[in-house]
Amino acid sequence: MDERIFDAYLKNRHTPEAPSNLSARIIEASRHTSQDAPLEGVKRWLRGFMEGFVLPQPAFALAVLLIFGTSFVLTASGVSLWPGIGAEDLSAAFEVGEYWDAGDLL
Amino acid sequence: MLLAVRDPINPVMAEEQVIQDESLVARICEGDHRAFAILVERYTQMFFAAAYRICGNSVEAEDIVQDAFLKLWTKPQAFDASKGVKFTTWFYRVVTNVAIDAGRKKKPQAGSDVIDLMADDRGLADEAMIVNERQVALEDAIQDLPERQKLALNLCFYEGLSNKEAAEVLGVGVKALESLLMRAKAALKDKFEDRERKGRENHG
Repeated sequence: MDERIFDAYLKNRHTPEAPSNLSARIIEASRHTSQDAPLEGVKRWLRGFMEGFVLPQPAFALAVLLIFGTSFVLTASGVSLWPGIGAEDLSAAFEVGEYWDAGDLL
Repeated sequence: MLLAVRDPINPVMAEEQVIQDESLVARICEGDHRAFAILVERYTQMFFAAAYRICGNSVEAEDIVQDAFLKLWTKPQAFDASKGVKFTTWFYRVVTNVAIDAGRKKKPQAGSDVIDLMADDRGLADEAMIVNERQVALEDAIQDLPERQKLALNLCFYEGLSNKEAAEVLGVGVKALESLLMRAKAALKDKFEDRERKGRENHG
């Protein structure tokens, strides 16, 4: 087939005119829309994510139990949860805390 | 795009016409609503046509153009002129993405506006009917193309973008775009030839 005939056929595509008031409608709609601050998009996404993020209660309870359980077992077996600080050092720190008095600072 | 038409009767209008798109977007970033209005007035028709060619429905095309312009208003800093991309090329991408999203959300509908047009034109002469039927067939054939082939054809053939610009809009390489374009035209040509053959059989 002749390419020119085919191209003429393609060019024959119908495209309507935009309604005459479309620009005015867009401009009017923008008056009721506030502009995003540079980080507004990220904030909105984070807010949406946090609002939409629902942890099922049993899973939440299990997670809390797991964290406390692990830390209890590790502390009881003398393993420090704080890198570089031994469990004994920590208990010593708490012991000091027990005998600390506000009057010491005055 | 720079419109350098000077209007001696309306100097304000003339001033608006020589402002570059990129400068207007910079002003929109500072909250200049007038700059936004100038861009909207300048490009509504052009991008309405582009949106219509993607979705084939004028009501949807209006929504697409409005959404795209409101995205520009709410987040003008998304356009980065320092990358050397023309505003119109970038905005084609915005309109295309909005149209694709809208197309995925909507339920499938039967046919396009041209079919309604044809129904309204039943009283016209036979010749006009044939032209109309051809337009319907063409529109349906284009709308039936795979999405990326349709977009490539629209951008290069109807919007007049260069292959490089169209490739930027679609986020593909120039070779990939040329391949999409070639397949789109081949598919349409097959349908056109098939239709012409059937027409000859019916009349002969």
